[in-house]
Amino acid sequence: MLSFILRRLSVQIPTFLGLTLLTFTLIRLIPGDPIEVMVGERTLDPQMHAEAMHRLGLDKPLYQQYFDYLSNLLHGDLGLSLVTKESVWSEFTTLFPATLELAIAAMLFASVFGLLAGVIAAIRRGSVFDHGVMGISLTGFSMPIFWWGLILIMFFSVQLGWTPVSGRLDLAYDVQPVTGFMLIDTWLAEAADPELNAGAFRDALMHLILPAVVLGTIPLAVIARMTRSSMLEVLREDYVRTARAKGLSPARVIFIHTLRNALIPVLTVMGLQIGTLMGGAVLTETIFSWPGIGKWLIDAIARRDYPVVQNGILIVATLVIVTNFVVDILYGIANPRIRHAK
Amino acid sequence: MATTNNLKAAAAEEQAALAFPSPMKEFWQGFSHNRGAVIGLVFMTIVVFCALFAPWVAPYDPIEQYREHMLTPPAWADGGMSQYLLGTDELGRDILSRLIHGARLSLMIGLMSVLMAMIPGVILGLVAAFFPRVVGSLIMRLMDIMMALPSLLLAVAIMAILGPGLINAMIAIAVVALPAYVRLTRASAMSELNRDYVTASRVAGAGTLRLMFVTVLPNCMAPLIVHATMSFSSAILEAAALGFLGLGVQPPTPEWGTMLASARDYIERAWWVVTLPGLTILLSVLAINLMGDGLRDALDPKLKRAA
Repeated sequence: MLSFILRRLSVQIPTFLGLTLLTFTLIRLIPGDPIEVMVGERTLDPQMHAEAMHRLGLDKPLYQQYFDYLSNLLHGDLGLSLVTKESVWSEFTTLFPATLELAIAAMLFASVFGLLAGVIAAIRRGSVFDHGVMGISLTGFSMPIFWWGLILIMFFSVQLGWTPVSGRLDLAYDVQPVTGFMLIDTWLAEAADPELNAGAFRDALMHLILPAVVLGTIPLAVIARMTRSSMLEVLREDYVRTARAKGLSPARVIFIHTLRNALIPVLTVMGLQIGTLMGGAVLTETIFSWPGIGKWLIDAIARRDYPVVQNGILIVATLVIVTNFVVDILYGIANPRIRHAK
Repeated sequence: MATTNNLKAAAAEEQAALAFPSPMKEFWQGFSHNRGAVIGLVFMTIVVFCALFAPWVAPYDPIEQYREHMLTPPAWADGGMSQYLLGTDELGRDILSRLIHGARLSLMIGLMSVLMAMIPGVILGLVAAFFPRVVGSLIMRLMDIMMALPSLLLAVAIMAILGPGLINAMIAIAVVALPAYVRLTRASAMSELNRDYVTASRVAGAGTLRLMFVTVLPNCMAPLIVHATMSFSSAILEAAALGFLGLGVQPPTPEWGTMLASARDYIERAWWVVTLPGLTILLSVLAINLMGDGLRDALDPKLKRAA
């Protein structure tokens, strides 16, 4: 097992190094040097320009600059935002829980409904329900989610007034960020001061529903399709027929014998959705003014805050690599055939 | 006399039935078997027609502002006017004309970025398959890195460097789509390389280039064409997403995603400004994906009538 993990890990190291090379080059491809970008429209006399270049180590040869960048990264120094002068890492850690909360809620929504729809569609293959699920999932897969978000806001927030339009919590509440997860924080705040913060948890939940549905739409479509086809495959297996012949109840055959085996490819697909979620978070957070990583990156691009763009992208990509790595390992634990394959 | 004719005709029919169907006919049979694919094809034919003849099909100039008719609802709604069939936007521009001209942009971005990803992707994939040791593993490592970045985020990062604009959007979307083409080409070329016909061709003295492009590539085309259709639809989605984020095609150009960027402000008073561009994107992407399913049924012999 250990050798399996080490083997998989050794593949990830060059990928990570390549990634740093990519983000390092990224910032140097921008027309004009970083100093010009920092001062913006103002002009700078050549002397000061040279001094600034020297202070930031930009007059060194490129390979030296790259090694400096790497060594800073390994020391946990991700640079400062040009706009707020805060460290990129601390900005990231403040905003990340918001994105994580949204992503977990979206994945929960997608998994529960995706699995359910996929299983029922597979059992009732060829029925109206099956065709409906397949049609809806193809539509979900083709959905421009930024538009989907707008439509949901228009219907549920503006027309019906059921959910708030944007943000994570009503401004009337004063909730201390303890975990960064609004649902937990409001729960704690309500427990601590039931009078002042009455209804805060419900408010946070209402804020979360629409963004989670929007972000979960594409994963939902993918999971439903994958569950259906995987279930259909397993339902043809001999051991399912045996289980039926033994006289087991249909529910037991479906959920214990079939679904457990059908889940393996579905789990892989779920792991692969992490990238989709991170990309989708950019759009979802923009529509709902959700203060997370996606919105942070888009705002940084608009403000030409390059250290944030550069290392923010690095952090997110590393996160995706790490998640895929963990999924890989879990998959290896679940399936010995993969663990022992060369 | 008549009976002999009938017999002859029957014999000819029988012969036709016994002969191999022509590839085109077989393709069409497979494709038209899928009803969704045919619906998608019809819809896309209309969209392509609109895109090609946009200046003649569209009733108005897409950027002409009719200030006296700002935010006119569609013709069938209360307060709608028959001369603006789908209503007008916040500057009084005819939405139908903008959507028709937008079809041009979306299809062009889709087509160009598919070509810009497919051509280098196929070449790199073939090189990776033919020289798997050093060059191949180098290429594949690079593609792994690109795959590690969420596609929209990579596109956004590229747009941050290149700056907004039509050509830059095409480049960004093409770069994002590249790794999938490389992987797909390499995988199918690798499985072809062990076949006898490739060995035979090699023994007969075919050079590497000939082996790559004349011998192996045509046999890898089916999955590539299916993938190209799917990546065409995701290119349209990504272009629209970039436009929506303000990084893609810039206003007043009538790009579908860019049209939605400003629509958020009208969510309370003008549903048509919000609904129609997105619906057009959704229907086009759906139509292309349906066609892709049909193409897979028709082209991929392994999956043919399997399910």
